Amino acid sequence: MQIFGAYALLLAFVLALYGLAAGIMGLVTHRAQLQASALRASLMIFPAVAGATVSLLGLIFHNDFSVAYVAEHSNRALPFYYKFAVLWSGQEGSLLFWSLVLSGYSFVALLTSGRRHPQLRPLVAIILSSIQAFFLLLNNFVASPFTTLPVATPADGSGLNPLLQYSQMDIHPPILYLGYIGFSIPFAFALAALIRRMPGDRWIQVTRKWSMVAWGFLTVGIVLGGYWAYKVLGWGGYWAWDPVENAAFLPWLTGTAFLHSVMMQEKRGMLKIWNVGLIFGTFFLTIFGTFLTRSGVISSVHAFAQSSIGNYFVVFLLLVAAVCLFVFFRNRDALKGDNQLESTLSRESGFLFNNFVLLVTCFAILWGTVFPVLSEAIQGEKITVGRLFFDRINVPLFLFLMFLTGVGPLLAWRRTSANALRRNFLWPALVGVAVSGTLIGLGMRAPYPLVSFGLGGFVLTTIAMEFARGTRVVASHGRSLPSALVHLTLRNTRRYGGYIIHVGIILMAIGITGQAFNKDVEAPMPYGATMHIGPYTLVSQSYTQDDNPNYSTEAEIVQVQRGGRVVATMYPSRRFYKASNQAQSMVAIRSRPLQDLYLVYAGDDPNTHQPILHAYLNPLVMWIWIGTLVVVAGILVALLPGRKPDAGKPRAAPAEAAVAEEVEVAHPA
Amino acid sequence: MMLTVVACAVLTAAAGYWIFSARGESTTGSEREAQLQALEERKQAVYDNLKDLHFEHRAGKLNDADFERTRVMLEQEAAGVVAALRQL
Amino acid sequence: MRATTWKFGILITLILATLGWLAFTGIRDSKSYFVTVAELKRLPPAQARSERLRVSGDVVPGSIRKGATETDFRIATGAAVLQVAYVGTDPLPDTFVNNAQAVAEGRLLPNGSFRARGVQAKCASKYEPKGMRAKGAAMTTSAGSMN
Repeated sequence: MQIFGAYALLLAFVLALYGLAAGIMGLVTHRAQLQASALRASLMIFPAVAGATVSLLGLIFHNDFSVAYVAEHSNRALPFYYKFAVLWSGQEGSLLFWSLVLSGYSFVALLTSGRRHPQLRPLVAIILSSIQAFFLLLNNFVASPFTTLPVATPADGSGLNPLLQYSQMDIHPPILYLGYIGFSIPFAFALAALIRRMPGDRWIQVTRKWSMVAWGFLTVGIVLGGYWAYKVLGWGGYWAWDPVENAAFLPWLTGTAFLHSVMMQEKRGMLKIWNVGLIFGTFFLTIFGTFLTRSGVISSVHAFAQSSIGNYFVVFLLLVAAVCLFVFFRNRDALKGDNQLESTLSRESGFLFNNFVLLVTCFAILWGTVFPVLSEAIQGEKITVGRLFFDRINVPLFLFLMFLTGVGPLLAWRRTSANALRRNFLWPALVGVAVSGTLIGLGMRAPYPLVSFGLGGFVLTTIAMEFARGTRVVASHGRSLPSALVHLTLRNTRRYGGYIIHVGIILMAIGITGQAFNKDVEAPMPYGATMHIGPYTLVSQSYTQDDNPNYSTEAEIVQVQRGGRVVATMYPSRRFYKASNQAQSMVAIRSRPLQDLYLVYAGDDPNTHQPILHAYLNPLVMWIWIGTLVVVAGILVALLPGRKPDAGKPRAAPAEAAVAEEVEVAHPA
Repeated sequence: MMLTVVACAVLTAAAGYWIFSARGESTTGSEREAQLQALEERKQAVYDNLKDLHFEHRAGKLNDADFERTRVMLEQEAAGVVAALRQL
Repeated sequence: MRATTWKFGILITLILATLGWLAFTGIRDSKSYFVTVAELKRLPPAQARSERLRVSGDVVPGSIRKGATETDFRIATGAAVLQVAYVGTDPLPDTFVNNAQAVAEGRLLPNGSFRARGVQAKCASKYEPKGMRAKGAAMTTSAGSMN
C-alpha cells in the first residue's frame, strides 16, 4: 500500500514533467501527435494522484502506524468519519490533497475545453502541468506522506488534533482548497490566451466561469472556517484577522474584483490589461497565502513550526511572477481596449470604484499581515499590528463597498443623467434613512452600525426594485407574476444570480455589524448560582461526567430563563482527549435570529473548585450563516446557462434592423 | 509485495499505452478565422447590450434622453463591428 | 473625458488620504513589539516599559496559579524567566498548559513583572509540532484582546 502510493506519486511527477516537456516541444515543432500525447499525460496525472491518495487513506483506515504520517496524525479510537480529516491535518497529507484537487480540476477543465478552445487547450495543459509538477515535487521529495517512521511502530498513533475533531473540519479544508486551487484554472486560461495573443472574449467566458466556481468555494470555505472558530475555539468570535484567515481573504478580494471588472470587458471591451492583472494576482495570492501559512515566516506563534518548505514556495512564486511579467510585457499590445470611459456617472465608473476599494482593502490587509516581516527587515524589530488596525481601516472600506453594491445597479452603462439617478435613488435612500432613523429612535448611537444598517436597507431596496421592475416588464407579456419572476431570473442568470449574491453579502454584513453590540460575563457558578446577561438569566443546575475511548467529558448543566420562563437547558463542557493528551472546551450555543447565547465552561477555579462559566451574548450572528447560504444559492443561479431572452426580442429586432440600416448608410455595399 | 509490483506495473503500462497511442489532430486555426470569431462575438455582445438597454428602458430605469443617446452610441458601435466583419 | 479623469483623481486622492490617516493611527495605536523573554531581558528597561509588547516563551511547569481576578504564571526562554499576570477577561485557551509555547501581550511593570491583557498558547505535540503546521492558526487559541 505504502509502496504503491509512493510509486503512484512518482509516476504522477514523471507524467507532469512529460506533459510539460512534450507539450512545449509539440508546440514549438508543430507536431500534433506530440501535443496529443502531452495532453494525455496531463490528464493521466489525476488517476495517478488519486491512486496515491486512496493508498494513504487505506493506510489511515488500517491504522498502519509504521507510516510516520499516520502515526503522527491518527489513532485507533478515532471515529471513521474523522479519519478523512487526517488526510489534510498535517503538512504532507495536505500537500498531497492539494495535488489531488489541482489534478482533479485540471482533468475536468482539460476534458471540457476541447471543443470550444482547441487552440488554448495545449497551452492550458502545459501551464497546469507545470503548477502540478511543483506540488508533486514537494509530494515526492520534500514532504512525502509515505515515509516510514524511523522508530519502532507504536501501538497507537498520537491522534488527530482535538480542534480538528468537528464535523465542520471534515468539510472546511476541502472546500477552502477547492476555492484556493480553483483559481489555477482561470489563471491557466488567461495566461494561455495572452501567450497565444487570442483576440476576442471567448477565453474570458471560460475564465469567468471557473473563477466563479473557485470564488464560490472560497467564500464558503472562509465562512466555514469562521463558523468552526466560532463553534470550537470558544472565544466568542469568528474572525480575528489572523494571518491564516487573511491569507484566504486576500485572493477572495482580488477574485471578487475580477468577477466585477470582467463584466466591463465582456460588455464594453474595456479593462483588458487590468483583468489579466487581476487574475494573475489572484493566483499569485493563493500561492503566496499558502507560503505564508506553511513557511512559518509570519506569525510568531507559528514560527516554531518552521520548515524548509518555505524556500521552495519562494522559488516557485518568483518563477510564476517572472513568467507572468515576461508574457505580459511581451504581449500587452494584444490587450488594447475597444472603448473608453465616457462619464463619471455610469455603471463603468461604479465598477471602477468597486475594484479600487477591493484592491485597497486587499493591500491594507496584506500590509498589516506582513508588517512584522517588513518591520524586522527594515528596523530590525518585529512589530505586529493588531485587530484595531484591521478594523479601523476595513470598516469604512466595507461600508463604502456596501454603498457601491446599492448604487451600481442604479447606474446605466455609459452614462446616467442626474435626474434619472435621483429618481432611481429616491425610494432606496428613503428606506435607508428610515432604517437608521428608527434605530436612532430606539436609542442606538454608534455611528458605524447606524450607517451599516441604513446601507443594508438601502441596498436590499435597490435589489428588490430591480427584481420588481424586471418582473413587471416580463409580466406585461402575459405571464403571471411568479412565473415572470422565474423567467426574468433565468433569462439573465448572471445578473439576477449576482443580485442574489449581493443579498447574501448584505445579510452577512448585517450579521457582522451585530458584533458591535456583543456582551460577555464571567463568574463562578456553583450549584444554584445565577448569572444575568441581556434578557437571559442563567441558573447552574448540576454537573456531569462521561467517558468514552476517545475522550472523557465534564459538563455543567445550565438552565436558561427568559422573563421568568425556562426556555432551554444548555451543556457547556470540556473534553479531555486521551491519545493527544489535550483538553478542549465544548461551547454550548443557543442560536436565534436576533442573538446567540454562547456559553463556555472555563474550567474550575483552582482555589475554590467552583466551575467558572463565561457567557457571551452575540447579536445577529445567525445572519452571517444565512447570508452565506443565500450567496451559495446566488452562485448556483449565476452558473446556470443563461436562456436566450425572448421578452426583449420584439424590441431587439428593430434594433438589429436599425444597425443594418446604419451599416448600409456608412458603407454602401 | 507481489501484488504491489503488479499494481504498479499495470498502472505504468496503462498510462504509457494511453499516452503514446495518441494520434494528433491539427488544432491550429487560421489567423483570419480567429479574428472573424472575435468580431462575431463582439457583435453579439453589442446586440445583447442593445437588448438590455431596451429592457432597462421599458423597466423605467432610464429616462428617454439617456436611452436615446446610449442607443445611438450602441448602434454606431454595432455598425462599426458589422462593417469590419464585412471587410473581412 | 478630461473632467471625468479629474473627478476620479480627486475622489480617489481623498479616499486614499483618509485611509492613509486611518492606517497610520491604526498602526500607532495597535502596534506591539514582538520579543522572546531573553530578548526582553536584554532591552534597556526604560524602552521595554515604554511600549506595548508581545513576549513569547514556554510556560514554566507548575507555575500557573489561577486567582479570583488574575492568573499568574511564568514563561521562559532558556534561562531567562518572566513573571506574568494575566488580567484579561476572556477564558484562557485550552492549549495553555505546562510547557506550552505562549505569547503574552501587555506591558512591563517597573517591578519587572509583566501585566498581560491577552495570552496565546500552543501546546507541544508528542512527536514534534509538525502536525500543527497545516492548519496554522487553528492550532493556536487565544484569550483576551490579543490583537
